[in-house]
Amino acid sequence: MRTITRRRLIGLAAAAAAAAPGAWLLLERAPAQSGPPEIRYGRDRCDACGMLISDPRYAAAARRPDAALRYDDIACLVRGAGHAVASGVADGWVHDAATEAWVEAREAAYVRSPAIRTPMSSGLAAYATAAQALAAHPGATVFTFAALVGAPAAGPRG
Amino acid sequence: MSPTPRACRAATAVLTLALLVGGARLPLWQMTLHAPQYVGGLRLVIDGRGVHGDVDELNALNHYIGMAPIRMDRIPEARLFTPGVTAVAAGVLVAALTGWRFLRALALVGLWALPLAFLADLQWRLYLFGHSMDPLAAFRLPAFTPKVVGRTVVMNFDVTALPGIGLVLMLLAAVVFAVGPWAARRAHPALRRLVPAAAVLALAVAGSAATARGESPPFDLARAVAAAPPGAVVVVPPGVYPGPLVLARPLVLRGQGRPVIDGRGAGDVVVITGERVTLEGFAVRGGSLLYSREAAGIVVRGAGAVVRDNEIDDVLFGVYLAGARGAVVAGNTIRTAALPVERRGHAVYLWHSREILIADNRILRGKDGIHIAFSNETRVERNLVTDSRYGLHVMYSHRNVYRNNVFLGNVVGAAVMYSSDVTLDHNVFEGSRSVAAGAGLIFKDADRLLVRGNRIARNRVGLEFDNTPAERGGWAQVEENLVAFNEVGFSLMSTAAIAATGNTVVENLRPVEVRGVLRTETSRWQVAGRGNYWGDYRGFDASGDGIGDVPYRRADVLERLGDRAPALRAFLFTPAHLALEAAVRLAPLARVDPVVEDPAPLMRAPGGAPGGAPAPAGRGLLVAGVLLLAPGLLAAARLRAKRAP
Repeated sequence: MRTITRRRLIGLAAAAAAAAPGAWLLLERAPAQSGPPEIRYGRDRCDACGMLISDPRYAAAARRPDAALRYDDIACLVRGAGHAVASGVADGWVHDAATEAWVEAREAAYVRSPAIRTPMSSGLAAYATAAQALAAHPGATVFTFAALVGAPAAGPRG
Repeated sequence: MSPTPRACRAATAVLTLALLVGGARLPLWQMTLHAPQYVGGLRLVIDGRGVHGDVDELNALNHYIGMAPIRMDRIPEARLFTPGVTAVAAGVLVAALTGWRFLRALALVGLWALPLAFLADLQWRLYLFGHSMDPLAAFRLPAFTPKVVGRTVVMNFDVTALPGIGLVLMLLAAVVFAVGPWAARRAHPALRRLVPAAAVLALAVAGSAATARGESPPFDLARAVAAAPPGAVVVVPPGVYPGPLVLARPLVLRGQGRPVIDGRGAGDVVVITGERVTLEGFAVRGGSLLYSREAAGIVVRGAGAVVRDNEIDDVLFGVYLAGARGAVVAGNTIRTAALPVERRGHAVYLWHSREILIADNRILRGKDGIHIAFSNETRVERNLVTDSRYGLHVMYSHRNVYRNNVFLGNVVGAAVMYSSDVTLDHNVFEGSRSVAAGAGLIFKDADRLLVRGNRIARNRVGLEFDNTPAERGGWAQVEENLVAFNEVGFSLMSTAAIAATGNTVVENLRPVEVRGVLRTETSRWQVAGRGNYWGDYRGFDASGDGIGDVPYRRADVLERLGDRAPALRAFLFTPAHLALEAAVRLAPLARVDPVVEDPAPLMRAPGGAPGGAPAPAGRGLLVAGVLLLAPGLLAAARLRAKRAP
């Protein structure tokens, strides 16, 4: 049986130290867990428009097999991953504008109004149920996610 | 008849006490700080009770150079002042009553020691402030000592310090006590008669100084506003008035001694719905902080409003202009409530407004410092914005001018998106160093954009362009800017096509990076044969026309590889990277498209911005080249001669 000499020990330690960055990179690239990714408000940038994400009410997210995506506005989610989420290739999440809880994008109810000041001025807000959406915006038209993707919200250009 | 020594002592003691106690109540020392961004300057006053004036602003400013904040609890000896004055006053009184010489001498020493020790201690504290700056601050200054009396100039701040009237009176008290009895005995009888009068007068002054800071007379602000005829000027005395206050008719509301309007958490604090309303000289605070209510310190809906010289604090949004026209927001100090950035409101928020002037404001905290959405024909000038997410954020707003503003230490200095006919000139964008997203300027879908004469320094990224210009026939001209000490000078998405000329690009870790699919032909690094000054340019100017004879070119192999395999970026700036770069430069091992190619690089930095040594003259360069080449040629010839046989 081989004994562990000091030289071998140092060698092993050096090898481990050298391998650590590689291992870390591998682990980092490994497919992450499911569920909406964490958003660091005021620090993370939107994957569609590049703006800092700073308003939890309208922040959205998607997860493809290869990437987690973060958006500052529901319009950016629709633009960036709308078809993928609608067709089930990717998972998408939006915040309930009142409770700020994550809601599955495909199951949420959406309203659009110029009175809703969203980061990209899309005026889109999401709620967990149509009833909650109507409670917050009486008389508004309630959309499904598929309807949003079918008629994507173009940012206004004044 | 000569006055008795006792009477002399008494008169002297009364005068001394009046001067001492009155002086201790009045300002002992004051400091005024002038800088371009502070209209009217900042003031700091010290009296027996503590430090007053623009302490918060100074602390916010000092934060950027890493100076410790001014806080009374960190100056323990200040607590000795009042007991010291009391003890000396008691000594003076007892000495006068009893005539004890020893006590008189002791009181005299105390009288002199108090003001002098105050000045000495203050100078020591100022020295400490100037010599214990946090090395991690956004700005690093060499250590300095502000003078306790006199003028000190630091950066662009001009500081003048003077003893206050209180300190002068205290010194006068010491003089009176020292020479009083002697003078009283020798003075002319007519003068002598004046002594009691002077004592009484001094007592009166001291008394009024002690009670000056009292309560304000009752004044019903809401009633005064309701009763004022249209166009009237209503002067509001100091006091605290409850909000919300609605101003629905033309009116000038002028605060005297900065009266406070306190919203007490109820919603908006002041709402201007009428036309031609002026609100000036107030402290506005205490609006609702609930994010969903989106309440503001001052809401402007009417046309022609003037919001001037107010201090707006502890609110969600600062000044919110909703559908306003022709308004002026000037000279205000605005700081939104200390909430995490996603819970804050904007300090100045324009929404569907136009022809607005935002000038000379100091914005010390906000989500966005100045947020402009759907608002055209607006000017933003000479403002200071710090501690915000985007210092300036422009969305869907056209034909606006942003000039002479200072943006310090925001996550992003300015972000201009989906806007056209934008002029940004002579602004300062510094210290946007956030690791994740820090940038001096970000442009996305901006058209007919002029970025001129700005100082863009010490940011993570200096300028970032994405899809700019956005429209066919649009343009983005970047000229005469100083781009220095950024990690990346220019960051261009491959969708950007800017024209850059006359910029000074020095001491950036990476002058230009291109992200996305590389298309170098999209951006032009010269206009009309005039390029930019590049600190790392290694060319020469034999023709002496100020333009380098070889193009400035930067091609970065690793960066190109890194676009394909981001993990390789871990090797950036390592010896391996530098070796690879050198190899590619010497031998065309791999063809790498340059990220930047300036065909007409400038030999000197324009406008006296920091540059290198003056470029050597063309002829000298030629001689030097021949001299350097000669030994090499000689050696080669010898080698060949040896091998020939």
